[in-house]
Amino acid sequence: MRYDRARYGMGLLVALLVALLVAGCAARGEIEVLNDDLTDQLEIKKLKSRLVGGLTQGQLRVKNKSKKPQSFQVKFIWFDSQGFQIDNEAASWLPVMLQGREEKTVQALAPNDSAKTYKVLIR
Amino acid sequence: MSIVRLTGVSLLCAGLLLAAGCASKKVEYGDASAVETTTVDFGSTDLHMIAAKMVDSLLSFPPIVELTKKSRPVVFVDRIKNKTTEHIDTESITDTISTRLLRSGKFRFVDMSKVETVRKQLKFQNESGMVDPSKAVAFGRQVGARYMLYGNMSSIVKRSKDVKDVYYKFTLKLMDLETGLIEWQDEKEIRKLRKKSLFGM
Repeated sequence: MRYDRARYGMGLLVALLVALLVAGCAARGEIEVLNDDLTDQLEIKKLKSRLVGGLTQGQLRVKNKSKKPQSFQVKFIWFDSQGFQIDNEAASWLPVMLQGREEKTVQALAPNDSAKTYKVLIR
Repeated sequence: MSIVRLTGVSLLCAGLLLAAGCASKKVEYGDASAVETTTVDFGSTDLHMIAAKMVDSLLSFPPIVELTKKSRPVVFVDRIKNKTTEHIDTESITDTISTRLLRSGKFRFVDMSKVETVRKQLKFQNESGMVDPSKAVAFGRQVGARYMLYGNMSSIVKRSKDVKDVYYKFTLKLMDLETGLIEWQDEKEIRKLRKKSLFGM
């Protein structure tokens, strides 16, 4: 009886560790705003990461602080565990348009499962 | 009189030099990943936006995530039907999409445009008598595609005196060739506006 309980407890611990390991595998992201004017006009609300089928998905939530429409460009660049950029030629600047006070999410999926960190460039 | 003529010739020369200077051409490299808004027509940024949306959508769709967990499904890419009034190289869009899908490590592709070339090469290896039979690639060993990627592209163009509004819609589908079921489908919409500026520039 005592043995069963110990085995159950051990199983639970292993499951918890595996869950933590899986949750912790999504690449870490950071944001870099290249245009100083944009830092006053945009409010970066949140940068979230999660794993989707082994690939990291990054999501940026951004809000236009002004009443006027605002357009800017976003690029996600991905790095492997050694800090090498993955598919550096494939990363493109994508235009984003925000109406006055509008809030939008911009997201991207890692090119493959070797992505360990990523950077969101805004200009 | 001669001073007047000299001044005239000098002015003419200066004018010609200025005109030649203005008309000179300069070649430089640009950033292929930059946002391009030269005209309202379909451009490289539209291609990148479509490819990014389609690849991310396909790879993150839960049934596809489940499908690609244990195997790398084999796909063949059919052409994208261009229903717009523009000449758009839709093969270039599917090339970018298939490149990214392949490089994700989740899918594999067969290239139907090279069937004839492959047939010729296999015929050469097996029938010409020039290739060591033990090293020749045998007929009938290729893997057939289980899925087909296809779609269409349409546009709505509206014009007024000062504005041209172009709306593009790109639809992509993944069909299971065994069951005929569409396993995944998504759309990307793009709206582009060209407005005449105050001075008609």
